[in-house]
Amino acid sequence: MEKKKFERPVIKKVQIGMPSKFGLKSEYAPIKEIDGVPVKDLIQQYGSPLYVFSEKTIRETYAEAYKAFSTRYPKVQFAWSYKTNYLNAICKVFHREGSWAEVVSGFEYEKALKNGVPGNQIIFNGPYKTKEDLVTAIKNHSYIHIDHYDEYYMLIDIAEELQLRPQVAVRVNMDTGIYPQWSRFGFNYENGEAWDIVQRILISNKMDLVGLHCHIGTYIMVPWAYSTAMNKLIDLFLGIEKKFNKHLQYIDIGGGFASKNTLKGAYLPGTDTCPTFDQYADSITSTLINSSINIEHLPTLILETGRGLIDDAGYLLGTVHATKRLPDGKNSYITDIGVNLLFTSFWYDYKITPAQEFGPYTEESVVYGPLCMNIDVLREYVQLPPMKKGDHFVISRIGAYNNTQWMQFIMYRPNVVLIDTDKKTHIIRKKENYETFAIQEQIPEHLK
Amino acid sequence: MKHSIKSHFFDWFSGLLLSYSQVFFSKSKIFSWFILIITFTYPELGICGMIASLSALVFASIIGLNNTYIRNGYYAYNALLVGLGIGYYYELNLPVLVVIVLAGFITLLLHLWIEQWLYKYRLPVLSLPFVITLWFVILSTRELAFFELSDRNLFVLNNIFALGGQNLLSFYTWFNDEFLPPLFKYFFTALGSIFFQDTALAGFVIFIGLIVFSRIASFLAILGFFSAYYFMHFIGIQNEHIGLMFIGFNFILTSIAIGGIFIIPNLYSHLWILILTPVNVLLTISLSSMLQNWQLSIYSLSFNLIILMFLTSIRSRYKGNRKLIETYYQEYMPEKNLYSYLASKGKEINSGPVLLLPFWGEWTVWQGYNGNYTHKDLYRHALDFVITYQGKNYKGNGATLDDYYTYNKLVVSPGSGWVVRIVDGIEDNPIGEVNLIHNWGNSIIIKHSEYVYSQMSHLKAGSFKVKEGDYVRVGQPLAHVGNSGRSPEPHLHFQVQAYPMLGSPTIEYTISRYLLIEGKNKKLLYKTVPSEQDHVENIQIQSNLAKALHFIPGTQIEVTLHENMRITKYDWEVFTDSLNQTYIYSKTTHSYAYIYKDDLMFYFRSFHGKKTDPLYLLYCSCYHIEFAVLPEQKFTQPYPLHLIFPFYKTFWQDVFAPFYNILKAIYSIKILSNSYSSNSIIIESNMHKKIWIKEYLFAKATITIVQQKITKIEWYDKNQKTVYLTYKNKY
Repeated sequence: MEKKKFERPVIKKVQIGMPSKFGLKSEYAPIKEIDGVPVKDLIQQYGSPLYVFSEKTIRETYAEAYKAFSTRYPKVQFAWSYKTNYLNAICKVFHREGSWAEVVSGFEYEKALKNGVPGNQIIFNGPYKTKEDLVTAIKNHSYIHIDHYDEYYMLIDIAEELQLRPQVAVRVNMDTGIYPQWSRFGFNYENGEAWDIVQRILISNKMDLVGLHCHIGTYIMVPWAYSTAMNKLIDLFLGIEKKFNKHLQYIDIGGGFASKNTLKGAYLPGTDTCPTFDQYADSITSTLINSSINIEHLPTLILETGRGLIDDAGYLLGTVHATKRLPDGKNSYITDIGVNLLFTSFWYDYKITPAQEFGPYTEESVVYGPLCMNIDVLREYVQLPPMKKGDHFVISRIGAYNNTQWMQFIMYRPNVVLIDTDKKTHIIRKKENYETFAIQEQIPEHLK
Repeated sequence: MKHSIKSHFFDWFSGLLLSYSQVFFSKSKIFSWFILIITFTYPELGICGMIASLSALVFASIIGLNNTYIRNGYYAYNALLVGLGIGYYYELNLPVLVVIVLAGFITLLLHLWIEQWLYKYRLPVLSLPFVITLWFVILSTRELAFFELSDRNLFVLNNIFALGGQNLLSFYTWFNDEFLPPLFKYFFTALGSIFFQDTALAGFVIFIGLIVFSRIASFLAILGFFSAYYFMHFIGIQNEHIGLMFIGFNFILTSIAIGGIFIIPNLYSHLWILILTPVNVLLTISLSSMLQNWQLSIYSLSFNLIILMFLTSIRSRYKGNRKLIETYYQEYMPEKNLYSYLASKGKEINSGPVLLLPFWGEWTVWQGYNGNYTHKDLYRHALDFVITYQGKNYKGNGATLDDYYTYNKLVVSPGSGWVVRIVDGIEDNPIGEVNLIHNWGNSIIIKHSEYVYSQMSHLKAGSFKVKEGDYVRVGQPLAHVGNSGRSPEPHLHFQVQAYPMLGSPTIEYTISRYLLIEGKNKKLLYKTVPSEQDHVENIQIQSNLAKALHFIPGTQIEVTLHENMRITKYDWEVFTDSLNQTYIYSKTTHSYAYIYKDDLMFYFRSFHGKKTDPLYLLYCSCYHIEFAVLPEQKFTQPYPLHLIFPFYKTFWQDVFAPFYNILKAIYSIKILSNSYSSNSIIIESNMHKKIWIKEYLFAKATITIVQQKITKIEWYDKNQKTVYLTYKNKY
């Protein structure tokens, strides 16, 4: 029989004024394993902290999202948003599932090509595309989503210079009735700029206009906002059909589906408030189907969902380095995971779950990272069962943005592991060491 | 365009030559030469045949008949036989010559008349004009003094001596008396007597020609004759002279026509010969004695009657019989008919309207044909579909309608047609309950053609997007899935029926194309009915591919072939013929290839010409392209063997071909990339040959499509060839 776990006693103030009548459930189970692989073994084998991705979850989430759209609309294409997570293994899982690539920089473009994505399955977005980037993209027949007039002029120059026809779409921004309105990317719908660029492209006849694109924001909690956006794109689509007798090939509605993480300051947890893929899909596809677009010319619907597809599949495993009682009496933990590894904790209240058994009592705690900086706080206020030095914990739903926005600040970045569908583990990014950085650095002769 | 005298002469010459093999439904020039030479064993007889044939051809030109039919001897073979007949009976002199010319003309007139008469029943003219004209001539000549009966058929040996001296005579006696078994003597004599020859040797030479033309036809000739011979023996008829009496060849011709020309040669067509021959024998005997009164022979009368009756009977079949298949696209050679049919199996050009699945995305067949719950008896040909995820059709605890993946999903039209009936206004049942008063629930019925209606039921009240009387196109949204009627859980009921009433009995009807999902793989299926528990998905047509393979008549194509540093130019043009079939014609090499295209596929029906022609490269590399085929998915189809293997390789297997094929030629394509941009579809096609179990790649091609046109074919076999195509519109 296993020895019963000792847990130090906690003193807890009786609380009043709970967020709701029933309060928040504080009883929850530890995460002792991921896809059947024990957390303890993972940390033992690959060290702590450790990023873990579940291939099974990625594929299941993708299948669920794809099903939600493909059973409602005949032509659906997902494009994996590289900036959300561009670890090659992760990208390849999505490409295997049938996703194209959506990139926003020359670096990402290069990555997509190296991952074996054919040029004509790469969507090139973003406000900053250099001439070299554009030339490569045009030569590979990738779809360039024009962001501003200067980019359009640059494309005309390149097209004339190379005698090639770029394949382009127009990025449109618009008021969809939500706050904030993203107006810095693309051409505005309401003030007529979007229609203006469409006309210019089609009249100049230097490039092929193949689609329309918008991306109304991020973490959109209301599906009807997509419906509003789609209606405005359909208006442009039909306008082009009417005036130029041209049927565009696709409408790219972008991404921005909320994952089940809880935003800081949210009243209720994300698991309860975020819409499902079905709700988003219903809103988007019914707008398209009920529009006056002729059934034979229905455009392909492209989705650039990033966060919604990967967040759930990512876990960050960490270890308690020290416990410390703060002057105000609050308990705090110093852990090996800080904002350097969990950049997104700036806006999410991540769920932290111990990786070993714990009792029913929780106490108010602060979770700090390892950095020698005041802002390195993972959770300012969280109810946690008492943990001691050396205990492991799991932060879930961290798949999006953390492996692209992480920082190498005073420490090396750890291993990233993928658990495949046969429960085998694979390192998909090795932990860094001195050599990783030394190779990039150069010392001038006089300092040697 | 005026037809010049020179081209008239060309037409007549070609028509004259081909009129010989036309008697065997063939268009083989080599075979014609065999027969032509044999008719000149009696030079006068040969001349008579030729004059009658020419007479029909020239009159056909004067009347202004279709040049194609003049050129292929179609108007002349009856006259040829009449001419040979007159030459056989009478001594040649000037008045007889005039009668032969007139007889040729009469045969043509009769041909045209009978053709018009039979055309509306889609029946062939066969040799009725010959039989009737020859009777006319024989009956009329009994009154004419200048007609002297020829005695050449009485003195066979004299004639042979005159033809080739002592050597030929001794060869003939050896061949006839010692070499040939008596049975084969009768057979060859019967074969020769088609062209009014009375020696087994003549028949033997014709038989060699027949083997060169078609192995299947040769075997059928033997089968037909011997089955008749043994049957006659069985019923006790003295049959030593069936060759000489102009009746033996009836069984030969019937056997070839039914066994291999009008019916695709297979085991069943051969078995039918064994049934038809005894009938033919009885018919022959009775008709012979009937005509005895006028001292006339029946010639090929019984053959004509049997064929016409049999073809009419199989066309009256209510249901298509998969065992006895009519030749849809006549290629005038049993082998070609067979190989083309085997390669086109499943393409089924002439069938009912296209029906696809009535939804989008991946669904599961919950109850199939002859299901356990409700698909029984009159309603056994119905399909119930639901959406499942990880084996379940609901999420959560499945207590409310919204938990079901299928609920509220869109139903789309399976094919184009008219909305003939909508039932609306029936409330959805709570989960687990059924509405037995309004059994079908909210439903829609669409008429796709006469006797093909589709019904979709258990829809959601108030969700209809069309109204009665609307014309809907394939894939058009109709309504949402609900849970009305006899439906305990949301599902879509789909059935095809012959009548427009709600709940008419179901009929078996295949889905034209759909994807069958097996794990990660999606397989494109033709004309199949999904089975229970199948995961199925609707197809998506890649419209840019469909456009690229649209060859519009009038389009001119400039072709450049690059091979071994040598550049050759060709001119092609797309035409349609009078039967509205499209073909690509090479003006440079006179090769042509028939094509077929509909909403779902493109394929080459046939190719005629040399295998070194660039048109042949197009034929091989773009042989069959499905528009719904997914990128990176392989799609395979068999080729017609005779267009891939050289003659000497198929020669031996032709005999067995109706029963078993040793050789196989397989075409496969893969769409390497297909982008929205108008400028790139790349298709890779691989061509395999298989001999027994040994399979090897004999050629490989990459096809580039730019701006919705095929612009380049890179061909790799032993040497590399590249074909470039540029398009111009003529009009």
